[in-house]
Amino acid sequence: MAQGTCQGYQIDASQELRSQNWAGLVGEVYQTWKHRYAGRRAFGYLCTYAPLELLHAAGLTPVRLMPLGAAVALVGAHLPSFSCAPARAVTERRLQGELGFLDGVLFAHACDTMQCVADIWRMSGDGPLVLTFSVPTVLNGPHAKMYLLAELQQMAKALEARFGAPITEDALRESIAVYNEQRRLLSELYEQRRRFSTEEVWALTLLGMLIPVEEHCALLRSSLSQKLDQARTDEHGAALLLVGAVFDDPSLLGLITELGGRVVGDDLCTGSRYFDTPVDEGAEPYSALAERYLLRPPCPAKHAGIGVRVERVLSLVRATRSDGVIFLSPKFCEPHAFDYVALGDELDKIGVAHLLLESEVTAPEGQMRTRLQAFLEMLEQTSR
Amino acid sequence: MARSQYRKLKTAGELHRLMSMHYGQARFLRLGRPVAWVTSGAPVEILRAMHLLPLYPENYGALCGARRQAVGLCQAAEAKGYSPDLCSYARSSLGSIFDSRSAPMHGLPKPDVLVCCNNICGTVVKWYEAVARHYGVPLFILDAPFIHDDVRPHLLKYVQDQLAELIRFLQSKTGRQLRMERLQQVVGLSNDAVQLWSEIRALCKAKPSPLNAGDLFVNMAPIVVLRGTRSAVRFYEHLKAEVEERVRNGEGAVPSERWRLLWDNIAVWHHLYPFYNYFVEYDGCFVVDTYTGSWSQEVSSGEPLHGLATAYATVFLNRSLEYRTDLMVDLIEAYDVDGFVMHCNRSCKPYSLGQYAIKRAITERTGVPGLIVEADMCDSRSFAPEAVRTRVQAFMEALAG
Repeated sequence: MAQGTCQGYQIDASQELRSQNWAGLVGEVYQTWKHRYAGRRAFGYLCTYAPLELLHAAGLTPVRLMPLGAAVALVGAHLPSFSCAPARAVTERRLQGELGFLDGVLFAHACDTMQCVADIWRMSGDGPLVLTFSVPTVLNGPHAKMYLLAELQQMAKALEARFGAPITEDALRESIAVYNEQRRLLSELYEQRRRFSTEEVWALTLLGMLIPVEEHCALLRSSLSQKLDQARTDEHGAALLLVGAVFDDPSLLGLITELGGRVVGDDLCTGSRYFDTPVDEGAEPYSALAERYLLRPPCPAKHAGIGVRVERVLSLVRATRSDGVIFLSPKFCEPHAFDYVALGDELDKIGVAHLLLESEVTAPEGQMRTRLQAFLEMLEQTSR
Repeated sequence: MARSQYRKLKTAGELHRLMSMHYGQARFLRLGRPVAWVTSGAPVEILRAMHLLPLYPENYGALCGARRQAVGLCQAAEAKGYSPDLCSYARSSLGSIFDSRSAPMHGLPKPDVLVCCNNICGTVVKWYEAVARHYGVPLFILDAPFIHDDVRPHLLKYVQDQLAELIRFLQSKTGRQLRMERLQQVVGLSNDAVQLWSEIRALCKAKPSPLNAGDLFVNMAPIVVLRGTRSAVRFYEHLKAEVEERVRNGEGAVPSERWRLLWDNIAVWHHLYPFYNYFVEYDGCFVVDTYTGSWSQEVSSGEPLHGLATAYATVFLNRSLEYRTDLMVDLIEAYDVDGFVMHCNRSCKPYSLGQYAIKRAITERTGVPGLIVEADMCDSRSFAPEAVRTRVQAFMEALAG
């Protein structure tokens, strides 16, 4: 039985991960973190624009904060109803006392909602230390790099002051190397995705944001080597590209698989946008970190030039030979909702079908199933 | 208890003419000048100094809301795939492009260039990307990063460097040149208008207040869309004289003023006067607000690009919730406010999401009670008047009790 293991997490890579198991596994991540990783200092982040290598070089272990099935109860007195599920669910976790395992949280600037959440958390007086990291919105401007460098250096000083240890150039280079290794392994996972089930690829990717990066690399290495001698799965069913934000709910994947679809790639915040584009290890570390911000495929909350994101998604469609695109937008998310129109129009022009699924804190599964079923049936028919 | 009433300003006619000229000029009196669509927080002084004609889609959105024509336009945008959860200014503006025949004044004239500054929100970046895509015209985004803590020198440098880029961009796309002396002149006019507007708002410390929030929201239009012009300065001189006269004669906007209130967020344009009249019924007058004072930063003397960068990077909505709380506490003290009302505006996340936290902090620090009311600035579908009225009644009765 092929197994990839790491301290605390046993993933049976030969079995398909069912959503109940997964929700249990990951849902307990935050509760059990301190126990599993005693001696490490967890530092939360919500956005891929957080400088993980800097946190790591400061001796911290970055842990991504996501809804992961959190229900909402208390957050209604802290955030209005027209805020997105990630903001509400993660704030709920904080209000419920589930984030006590963190030494702090870093908010990298991306969208208006998270900008407010950072200050709301800070104003509450209790809960984890909040650090804010400013990221340019315009990534293709001639002065963005200068600004980013200043912010990275300021964050390094703040971390040094707060946690005592100096962030040496060697430490930063080492952190960059290990995160680059993770990026390389995740890219390989995506290339080899046909040897895994859809849920396995998704679970192995998401884990990378929740457990220490060194362990995740070990897990990926062993999972990949164990699958290499396995035959590729048959390529039945509609090839789907997922485009969206945080995708942390496995029930949709289960639905896709059940209805005969297969995921061939993504432009997701918790998918390829997390690991795309390595940091240049030959360059000065701060400069190299800043460059990655400018070069990596942008989140819709950033502007990297007119048409850049559209071109990115179209090139993914071509590279993966997708039959259809599923947009996974959180409800109440302006950046994704605006990009959806431009992307939809361009996909229409090249004749690629697409479906919009807006996710909320409590997703109406029945409706989603019906629409997904109709979409996949339509794709089956057009491919004949 | 006062009857709902509105005391009209004598300068209302002048205001109307000014705004008609503003919209009419771009369509009928262009005289070869390039048209730029700009965000409300854009450094328009640079554009005016280059003799461009700025137009403000946000102001146009407010106009559509006030005329109760926004819903149809929003639906036109929604029909193209724009989510109904998006900012209603953006939906109205985009809708006016897709369905210009239904739009007030048939929409805004097509822009030659777009200038967007994100010091007010991130939505404008996406909105202007959509407009740029639609018209195929050049877009400049002035990136003013949000300020969670203190104002850092590298942030001001970043914004100032981009202003130099903006000038190069405009010169290249429009063929117009910028002379520094002309920019100094326009900045001077802008500062004059801003100072007058600040003085007018400060006159509302009088008891009774000469103006109510409705007056502030209507009369702020020139400070937004005509800032940097002589006509804006003239208008505010006349308005100030009229408001001073009211103060001298003890004329209040709400004659039976008993409760002095602070308003937070953008107005509910589609119910502008009726909404404030809910409070007038209980002798409540909004003597101060957080929005109309957003254009109260003068550009400091010295190097104009440095002054402009500082003024525009540090606008109210680009500052932390803690900063805004401090400001509101200061306003409550300065204007002797008894209660505050926060419009939880579906269309404006930067302004609305922090309101629960701010409300708690203000009441804790000042003892002054607050009320949060859910609505939308422009899309009347998100407004339930009777429900709101009930809450207003409860709040005002609690103030009295």
